[in-house]
Amino acid sequence: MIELNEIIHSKPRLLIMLTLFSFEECDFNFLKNKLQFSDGVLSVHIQKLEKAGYIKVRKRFIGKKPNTSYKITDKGRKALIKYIKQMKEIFDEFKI
Amino acid sequence: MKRIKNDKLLNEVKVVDKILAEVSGFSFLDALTALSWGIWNSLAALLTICKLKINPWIIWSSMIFLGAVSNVIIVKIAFSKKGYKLFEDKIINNTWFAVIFAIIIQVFLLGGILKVYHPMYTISFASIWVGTGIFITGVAGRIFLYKIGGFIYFISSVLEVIFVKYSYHIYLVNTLIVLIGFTLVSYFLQKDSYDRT
Repeated sequence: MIELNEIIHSKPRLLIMLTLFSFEECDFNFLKNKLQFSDGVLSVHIQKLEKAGYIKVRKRFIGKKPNTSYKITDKGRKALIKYIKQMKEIFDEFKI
Repeated sequence: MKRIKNDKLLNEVKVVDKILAEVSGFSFLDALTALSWGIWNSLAALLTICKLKINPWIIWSSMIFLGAVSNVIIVKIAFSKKGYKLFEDKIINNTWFAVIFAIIIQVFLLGGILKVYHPMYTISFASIWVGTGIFITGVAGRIFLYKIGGFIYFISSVLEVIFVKYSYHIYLVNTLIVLIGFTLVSYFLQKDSYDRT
């Protein structure tokens, strides 16, 4: 039986991971606006992904404004690829 | 078995594809990086042609330094305004820093300090590296005009060697056409944006 990664297998976290997988770096506002999540929802899911070591957080000041940006880690990249492969296996099995 | 049309992963991928399509335009800030290099290069060529009593090595070293500083500032501003950095941006930045490093070693250390070759050839060597940079930028960013621009820089470096006396003039024309002209055309036509389709 295929055991899916519980951390990635949730719509908001999967979307965050896929977005970060496609970009070199994204900041909080960009993710919030593009994925249309509230501040709270995005923060909670980002914290879970960070705790799992799947994303790296960078806090800095650009000019006088604070800026928080995110990057996917190698561990996160591998976990996402594994998840996609597992999903593909499931799709193949059910001929989707 | 009944075919499931809407599966979870496929829908999420579609959302990300939409985001990527939205951000794939050639923004003014993307254009500004090339434009700033064009302005510093043209200025250095003009100052050298005008034969001011300034050492050409100082002019060209200052150009490289100011170009690099402008580039770092523009990239920082671009990130704060856009809120994202594409993989292409990283490749392009690394390429440009490699090109600057190559120019500093070959043109300034070998040419300027060790006097390995005649100062007039400086610009031809720089053209080869800048041409390489523009071409790689074109390939990495999938920008067609940059690929042609890189090629024109190569041709220019050959012309500069043949017509050494006019090397700075040739370089100035080349810079105005490729770095400034092509960038403006790319930006206004929006034709050469990062093509992800």
